[in-house]
Amino acid sequence: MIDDQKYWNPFLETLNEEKIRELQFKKFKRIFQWAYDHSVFHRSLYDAAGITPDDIRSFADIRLVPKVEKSMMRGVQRKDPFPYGDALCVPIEEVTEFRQTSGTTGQPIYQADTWQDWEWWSECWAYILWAQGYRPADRVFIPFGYNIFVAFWAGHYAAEKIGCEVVPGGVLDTQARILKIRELKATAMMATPTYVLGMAETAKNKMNISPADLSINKITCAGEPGASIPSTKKRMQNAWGALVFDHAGATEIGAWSFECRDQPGGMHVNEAFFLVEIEDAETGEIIEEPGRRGKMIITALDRMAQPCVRFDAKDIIEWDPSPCSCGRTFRLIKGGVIGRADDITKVKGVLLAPSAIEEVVRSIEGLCDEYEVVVDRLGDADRIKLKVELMPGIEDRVREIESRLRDQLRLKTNLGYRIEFHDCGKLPRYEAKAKRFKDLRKK
Amino acid sequence: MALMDKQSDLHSIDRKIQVIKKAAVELKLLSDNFPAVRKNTDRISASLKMMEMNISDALHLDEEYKD
Repeated sequence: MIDDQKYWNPFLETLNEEKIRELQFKKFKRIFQWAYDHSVFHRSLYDAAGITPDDIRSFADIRLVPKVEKSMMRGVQRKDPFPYGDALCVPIEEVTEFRQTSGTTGQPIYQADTWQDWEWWSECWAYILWAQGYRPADRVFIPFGYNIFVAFWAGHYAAEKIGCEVVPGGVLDTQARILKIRELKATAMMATPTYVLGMAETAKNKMNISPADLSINKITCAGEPGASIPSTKKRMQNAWGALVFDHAGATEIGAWSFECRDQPGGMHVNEAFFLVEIEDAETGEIIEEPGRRGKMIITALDRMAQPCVRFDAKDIIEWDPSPCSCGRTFRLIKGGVIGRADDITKVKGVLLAPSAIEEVVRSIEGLCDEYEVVVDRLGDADRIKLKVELMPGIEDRVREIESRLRDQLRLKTNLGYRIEFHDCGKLPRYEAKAKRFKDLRKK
Repeated sequence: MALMDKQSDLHSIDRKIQVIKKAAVELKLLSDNFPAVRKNTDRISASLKMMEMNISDALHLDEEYKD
């Protein structure tokens, strides 16, 4: 009977907005006080800003609390206690989990969690998986390298908590993973969008197996925005004959959002466990209304060992005005994480989000999944090149495809590209986070 | 959803969580020299904390946190 329950937590997930804000405010005051009392780093940050926990008297006062940027954490970690530094709020003996960020944007950040924090990680993931239809009868295959990166670790623990049977697809190669999925009749999977597509390509081209003929009926994606990019989602769903759901999280934050079974074109923020604020990147003003994009500032309301209080995550998001048909009162962010403030760059004077290029490439029939974008400079002028792969047997349609590609790119990104066609399989393949956007101007 | 229509059920759950929490604290005090009990009690306490996050925190919005 419990399997029929729609919500992991029917109480919190349907709480009215007023109560959610009350809960967030109460929890914010607690975590702020905790960080103020236990973290040398946070205490000095707040002392420098002249703010104490007593100054937080209303929800609006939360904005007075200084933001934390990733670069600050890098400085913190040169201090004691090794290797986390003085943002650690518990005795080092209580730390049970080490993870680190991927270091995509610089020196990796080390993250400490106690067992309670690790339980919290998997609890956040339990909300995600239950909302996406994971139930105890599922056999969940996790084709991930089980290492120092948090990736799907907490997804593994959450699937266990729900009661699913979990198959860790650790050090197997892609073909062995596909064979294991087939042998065990796995029903669900978690992977990055890049790897979901890469596995499908390997199955079809190297093993003569159609992934849609396997038993996977749902896939949870993370690590990249692909599952919220409609054309990428469609390709994954068609390839696997499965529903594909997005989720966003980060090592320093936690698993803060998820797409539900109704696939509303966005993700719910778990507002019982996280406070998400959206800040205008230019003015610093907090954006309350739907439809305006800004930078996410996030607080993990219950994470204790190494707190995340008003963290400037650099994710670009916007509130969705519509309630979700699933009945959850947790607000939706429209279209998921649209991009990262770090990734959005000016090319030829035009603001470009790389995800817009992906949406175009993967919407065009006849192109393979992979692509690469190279931006460089000739003299004072920016140049942008898009490398794509043609599916075999359609070489006679190159001009038609190129024309559609140019038109759509112009429409969606306001830029003209040099387009380079390659044979299918010639561009680099990735197993985790892909690096398809190369800005050579920065070198 | 019937459960959520009855706040009294939530309060019953919350009361039971507090009873188990009290027992876990007592168990911890008894297990200073008994790692197998002490460390498993730490895990029970972490699970209880999750239940408080799921139920108790939102039931007692007008009360100050005690821990």
